[in-house]
Amino acid sequence: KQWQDLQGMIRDNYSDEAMKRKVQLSIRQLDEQCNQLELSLNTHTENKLDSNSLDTFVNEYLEKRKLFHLQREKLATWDAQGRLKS
Amino acid sequence: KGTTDPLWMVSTESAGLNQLYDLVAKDDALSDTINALYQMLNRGVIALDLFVRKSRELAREQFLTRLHIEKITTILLEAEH
Amino acid sequence: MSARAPINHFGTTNSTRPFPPQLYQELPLFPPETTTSKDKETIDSLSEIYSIIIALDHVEKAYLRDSITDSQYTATVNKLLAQYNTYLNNENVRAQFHDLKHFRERFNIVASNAITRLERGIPVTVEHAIDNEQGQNQ
Repeated sequence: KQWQDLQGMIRDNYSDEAMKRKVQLSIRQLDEQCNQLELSLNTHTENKLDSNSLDTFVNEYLEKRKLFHLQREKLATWDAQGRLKS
Repeated sequence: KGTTDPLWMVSTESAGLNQLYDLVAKDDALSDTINALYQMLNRGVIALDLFVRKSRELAREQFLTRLHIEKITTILLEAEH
Repeated sequence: MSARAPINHFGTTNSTRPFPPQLYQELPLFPPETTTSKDKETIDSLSEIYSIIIALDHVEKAYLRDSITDSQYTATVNKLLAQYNTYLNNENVRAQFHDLKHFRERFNIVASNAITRLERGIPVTVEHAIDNEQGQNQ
């Protein structure tokens, strides 16, 4: 039974499909985090954002967007080609 | 990253191609970020001068990124002939 | 979704294309052996021109949406236009730039409001002021 459990776990966590689902989840999470970041700044219409706060926002937002797009590109390639030779 | 990153399998043998992926992602990310700044300008969250300064900074970086992409794709295209 | 990230055809067995050996390593943007300081300066100016186009486009759009005032718009656009022209005074820069159409196509620039403004050469508020004046003189 333990062996079956192990096989099941490996299949669930490491199969191509499972890996792809993890990436898709990551992509959605990153997108959502970016939306939240933007929304969090909407309170600043009375006192506009200063330069340092803007830099902080931009640095975080940009990094998340880079990762978002990179994962999307790679997922698209993966889907298009099946597994690439490593 | 090792095998905990599910996308390690999609990394190619070529560092140059990997670099291209990174650059294209960076280009898109910069567009997104500039757009976010623009939305903030419209909502009154940042002042015009700050918008111009910061969006120009990001756009300069985007230009260099596109120049870099052009360099790599030129080599790729030349290889097809 | 970006259509520019390449699908890697080179690794498959049906590929007939030779893989360019330069791409086994990362490619520097400014290879030290071939880049001169003049090159860097020119590229720097081109990047500033690009940034002006992008910023200008958004300023135009923001003005159309009433996000900024007439005076904010006029002052900012005057400054950007002046800076744009200053950068293009340099002949090395002009040689690389060619013209706006060429520059736009080469770098895939989508900025229709900026292009209009650059071709007109003055802020839209100044255009209107001139139109009004001419109207009154008739």
